[in-house]
Amino acid sequence: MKKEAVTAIIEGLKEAGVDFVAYLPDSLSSPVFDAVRREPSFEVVPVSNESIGVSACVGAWFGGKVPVALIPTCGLMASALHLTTVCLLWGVPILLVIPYRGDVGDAQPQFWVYTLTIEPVLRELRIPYKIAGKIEDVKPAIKAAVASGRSWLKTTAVLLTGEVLG
Amino acid sequence: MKRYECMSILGPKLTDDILVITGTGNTAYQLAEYRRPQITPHSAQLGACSAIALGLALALPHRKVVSLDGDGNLLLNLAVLGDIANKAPGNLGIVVFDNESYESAGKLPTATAGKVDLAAVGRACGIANTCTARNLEEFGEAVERLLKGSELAMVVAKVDTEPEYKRTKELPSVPETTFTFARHIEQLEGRPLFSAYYSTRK
Repeated sequence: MKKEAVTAIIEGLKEAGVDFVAYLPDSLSSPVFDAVRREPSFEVVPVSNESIGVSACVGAWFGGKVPVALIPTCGLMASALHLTTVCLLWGVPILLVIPYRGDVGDAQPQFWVYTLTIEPVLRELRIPYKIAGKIEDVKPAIKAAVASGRSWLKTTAVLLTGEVLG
Repeated sequence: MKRYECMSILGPKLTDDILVITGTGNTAYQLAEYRRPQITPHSAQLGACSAIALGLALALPHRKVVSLDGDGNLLLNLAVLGDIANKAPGNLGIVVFDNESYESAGKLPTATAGKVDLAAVGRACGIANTCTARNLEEFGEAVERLLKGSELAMVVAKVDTEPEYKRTKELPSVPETTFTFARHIEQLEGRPLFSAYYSTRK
């Protein structure tokens, strides 16, 4: 991932008011996690399972934080239980930022299944989302997703693809 | 030892200024006999309870947060103990009612009915201040330490199943509790935490 993309993600989160970050790393986004850990305005929680991150974000929201879960593409499926039974049922807004591995153009063979699954899963989980394929789209997408989610009391997501993933 | 007996000790100690998260099953109903259910999110599904409590404890480090978890609940997401230990919020206490059973799902045994020792798991994950309570005296002493202490703590209460227990309280709906719990926290904190509308447009 290019430095400009990392900067856009971090600045987008900060400008959106995010101050609580739970994350489970993935290979492409590792520079983001380094930057997150260096950012003093974030309470940072590394997690061992994406669902832990999702639920920790729910608790943080109750504590007045603006939380984001940075999770790998596969982590959406791993956290689906808590996205359904906590975020959706309780009506708690958190932000998910997810690399869109397997998008058309990401030709690695082990990821193609996600091009068929990630957007349908988001829709079935009733998670509105935006896709940021250009670096200039990242900040507006994150800010819009946070603002709308907190207004609607709905979890929202931003999928990162194209030049953002580099 | 029964969970409702434990709750008769713990419930009165969970004053309104302590934030409590409960999992699935009868725990929230039993707590409701001692505490307004509107200020306790309930029915955190398998694996979520202590993770939610972790986020809450980190967000409000000056306030005591207690997770009332269960063995089946915790076992689904056992890694949460490691993540909690690594952050080690001193204001978080975890009470696990371990009845070695998926009691509300037909009383089939959980892994703790076999070889799993949750207190040993907690200690191995790094929650040094972990103990097992096997009778009411031990439980009372353990939760007293948990509530008064300033270090991350976990109490595993080995309880029997309780087929004789009859719910006497109703719980509010889950979405309703989201609002009442959030407003309760705002009141405790004395400041607004939740804005109704965040606009990106002028």
